[in-house]
Amino acid sequence: MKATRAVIALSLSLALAPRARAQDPVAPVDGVVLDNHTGTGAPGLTAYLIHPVLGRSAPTLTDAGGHFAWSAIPMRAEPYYLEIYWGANLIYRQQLLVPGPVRLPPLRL
Amino acid sequence: MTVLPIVQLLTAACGIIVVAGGIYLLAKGAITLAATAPADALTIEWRKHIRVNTQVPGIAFFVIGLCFVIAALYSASPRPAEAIDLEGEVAGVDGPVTVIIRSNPLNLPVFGDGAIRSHFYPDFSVLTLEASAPGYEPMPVPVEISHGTLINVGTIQLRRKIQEIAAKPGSIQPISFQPPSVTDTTQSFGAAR
Repeated sequence: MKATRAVIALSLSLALAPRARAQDPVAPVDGVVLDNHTGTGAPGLTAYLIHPVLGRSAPTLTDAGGHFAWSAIPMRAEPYYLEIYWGANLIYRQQLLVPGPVRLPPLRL
Repeated sequence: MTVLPIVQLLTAACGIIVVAGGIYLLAKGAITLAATAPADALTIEWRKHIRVNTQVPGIAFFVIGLCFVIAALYSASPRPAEAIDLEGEVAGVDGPVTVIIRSNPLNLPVFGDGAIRSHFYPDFSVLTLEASAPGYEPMPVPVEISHGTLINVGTIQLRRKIQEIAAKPGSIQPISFQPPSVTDTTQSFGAAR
């Protein structure tokens, strides 16, 4: 009987675990990367958000104006870190809180 | 609803009508499933390869009706997407190149009550291939996939916009955890725009 209950409890926890993560409210995050020398947008850079629990976000590329954006980032109490890559080289990483929609100030790199 | 589902419905309806009509004619005695004389046998022949002979012509109603229903079901059954071969070249770039393919955004109507209600047909006939490299302006190229499964996008020439940016002292904040590698997509979250 105890074994049956344990199996049912395990099955329920496994079934509900992904939903618990999916229930995190989400918010958009966007920003712009500028070239410090020219003051123009830096295109083709890869941006990620990393999080101690959620892992690494989907990558997003900066457009011709240096803009990058994610549409659905879970709002979490723990801070994220914004990473910017030039190709495979990490050139920027700073902490970022996502309590709601975030529009970052221009990043001059 | 497009033309194809309507034709499929009509085809299935025709099959059902033929079978139902056959049953009705049987009930009325207009046709019979009793064996006829060999001279009255129904013969169907196709290019001398297939030859079907039956002394029960009434059964042809049911076979034809069944063929209609099977044809409609076969036509309506989902099929795996066709693979697409893409060829091309990105020229003049000194560094890693990223190529992504996007579908055209689908704008949905604005909802007053917050509910999402939409009825749409996904259209992947025109996609946008976007080549980008660090410091180069991204180059979007429309890709039409309706004319075949082999697509050549030719040579994509990217234009350099800025010189390489290197990490500056203090610009990389240390972290106390080990994030997944950039090639590890098993824990990916968020939707890039």
